[in-house]
Amino acid sequence: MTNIIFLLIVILSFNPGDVLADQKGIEIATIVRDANNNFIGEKSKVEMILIDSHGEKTIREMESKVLEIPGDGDRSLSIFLTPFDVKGTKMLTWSHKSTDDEQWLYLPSFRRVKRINSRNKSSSFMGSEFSYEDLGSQEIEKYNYKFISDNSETNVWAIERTPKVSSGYSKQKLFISKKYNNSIKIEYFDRKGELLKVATFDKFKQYTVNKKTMWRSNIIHMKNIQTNKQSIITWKDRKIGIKHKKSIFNKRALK
Amino acid sequence: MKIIIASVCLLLILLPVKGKTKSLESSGKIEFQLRKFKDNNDEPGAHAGLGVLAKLKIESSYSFGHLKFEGLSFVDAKDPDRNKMFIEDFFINSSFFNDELVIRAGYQIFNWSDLEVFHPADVINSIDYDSDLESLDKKGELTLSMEYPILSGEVTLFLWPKIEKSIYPSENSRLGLGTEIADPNWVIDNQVVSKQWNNQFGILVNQSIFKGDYKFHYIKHIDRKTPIIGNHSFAMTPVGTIPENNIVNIPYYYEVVQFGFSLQQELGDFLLKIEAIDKNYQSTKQIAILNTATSAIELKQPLDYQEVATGLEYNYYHENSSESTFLLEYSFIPSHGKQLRSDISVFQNDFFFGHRYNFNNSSSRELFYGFIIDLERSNELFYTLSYSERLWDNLKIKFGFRIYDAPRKNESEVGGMQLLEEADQVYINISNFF
Repeated sequence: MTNIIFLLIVILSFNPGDVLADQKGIEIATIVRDANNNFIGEKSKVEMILIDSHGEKTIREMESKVLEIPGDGDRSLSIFLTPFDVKGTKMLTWSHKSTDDEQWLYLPSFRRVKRINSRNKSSSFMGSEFSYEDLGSQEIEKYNYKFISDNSETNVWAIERTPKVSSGYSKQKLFISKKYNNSIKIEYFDRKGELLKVATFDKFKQYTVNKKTMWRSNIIHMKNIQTNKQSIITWKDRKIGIKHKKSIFNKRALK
Repeated sequence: MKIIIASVCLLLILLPVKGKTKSLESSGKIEFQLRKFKDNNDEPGAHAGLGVLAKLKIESSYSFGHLKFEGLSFVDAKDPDRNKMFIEDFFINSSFFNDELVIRAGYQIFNWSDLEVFHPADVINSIDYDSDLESLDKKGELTLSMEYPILSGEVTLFLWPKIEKSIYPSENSRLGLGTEIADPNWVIDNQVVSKQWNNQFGILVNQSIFKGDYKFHYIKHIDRKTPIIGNHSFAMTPVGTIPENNIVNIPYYYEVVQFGFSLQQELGDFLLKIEAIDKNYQSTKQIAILNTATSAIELKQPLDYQEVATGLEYNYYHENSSESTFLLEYSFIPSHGKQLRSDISVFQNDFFFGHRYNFNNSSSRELFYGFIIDLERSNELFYTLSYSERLWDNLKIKFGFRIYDAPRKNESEVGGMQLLEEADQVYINISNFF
């Protein structure tokens, strides 16, 4: 009898529509990934403008390098250029496909390489509205996906993803342009399920790597809905298809 | 050996001259430092400091390698004994075999510690004792190193051919021992020598596995952490031990063999840190020292010991997007008794709690407070509070206080933090970065 009741519960809770929505969500995420991979490596200067709730602005600059690792997540290195008191600070991130990322921070004033706990990725990046998680590699394997809508007028898909590994968010709602095969807007929901931040992506530019063309957004505007603070990241002099040496994405190279 | 080292250094310095310059960058800061010590009833000494620190860093990349210089100079208008100038880093770095082998030659500062206030594994450099007890400033050490990747990390071999002298506060300083410290001597194979050139060796194995970073080291060098201050020339007479010329202010540093390790390991929401060392002194040479409490001359030799420090770090994110970092650390010397332990280190059985509150705003406001409590020497407490903020792009301010609440109870057992009981201070630093 218990087995029959259990079977009934399983059958009644099974909704073929949910499965289809999950499948379509993963399909869209896979399209986006396939359209953006094989970029080999990337190099750019990054400017970040922090805007507080009173509208006052502060500018941060850094140099960024990314290396694509076939079969695993990307490796990235950010070197802070301004403000001058943190100049030379370096952040190394090893993204992984399905497990938590690994991250190290080199603090030049202490000459120390400090491991950052992967559970700390919801921490603010340089005092901005971006968290380390927002700027890390967004591997498909780290999320469950759900299809929401397909707007044929704007050519935009909407999908939802919920994290499988530790995250600062309960879910994210992605609006993906079919033209750019990239998100044009992401809504981030906090752990209580309330809308926390909205990122809008702009200034898409086309790049060609080994005859494959791909689009990258060169401006992300992040607005914190709860605190009214904003941050804008702008990529300058971005080069894609760069063959970096793997040795520079190593802990020993931070010092 | 000197000729080999000089040849390698010369070769590495000449390489960039031949190579094409790829980049040249400079940075640094000018910092105004004001500190005021607590009132001590106008006893002689420096009651305040008003100084300017200048730091310069130049980095240059060449087709053959990388050159780095970092040095500082400090001038104090109220306490000229604090004036100093030294090199922190000045080395050339060259890579070979597709960047696998890295050879570095020149002056370097090392940080082998993973903890915030207790640093048993951090022993290479000579120290500027006129700095914060929990994060003492260091001088660069002339080094030749070779680094090669192995498994999930690298192994590094070190040769330190020259022994740098530490910087001691003057007899006027509240951070000093109340006496002028003479030039140091080294004790090698039970012989006292003053030569600065002596080969010291080390090996460091660094591995990253299972979300943790592990470092193991073996060093044979002149220990710069626990000198014995006295005089090695003395006469034993029926009335007691008499040091030559009654001089008892010479620091003696002993050759030591040290094994140790340190780790940073993710542990759920925490970051676990552990450092441990085992020190074996290579000489038993006795030094005549002055017991300041009893005014008697005693004989002393270094004691082998082990030291362990462990810590936990936890981050908490507030709803207003600010961030708290909580730090808990414990340091312990399991060898010897209570008094001998406190002779070896100020932190012989101590607990630290710290809270760093980062406002995560555009001016990088940060508040830090913490305390260190001695768990076996009663009424020894150190507490500190600081606040820092970027005033505008290049200008930063930091102010706070440091209190040593460690009154002397028994004059025959003065040690630990009691040595710094007059060093309570308030300070303000204004830094202009460029």
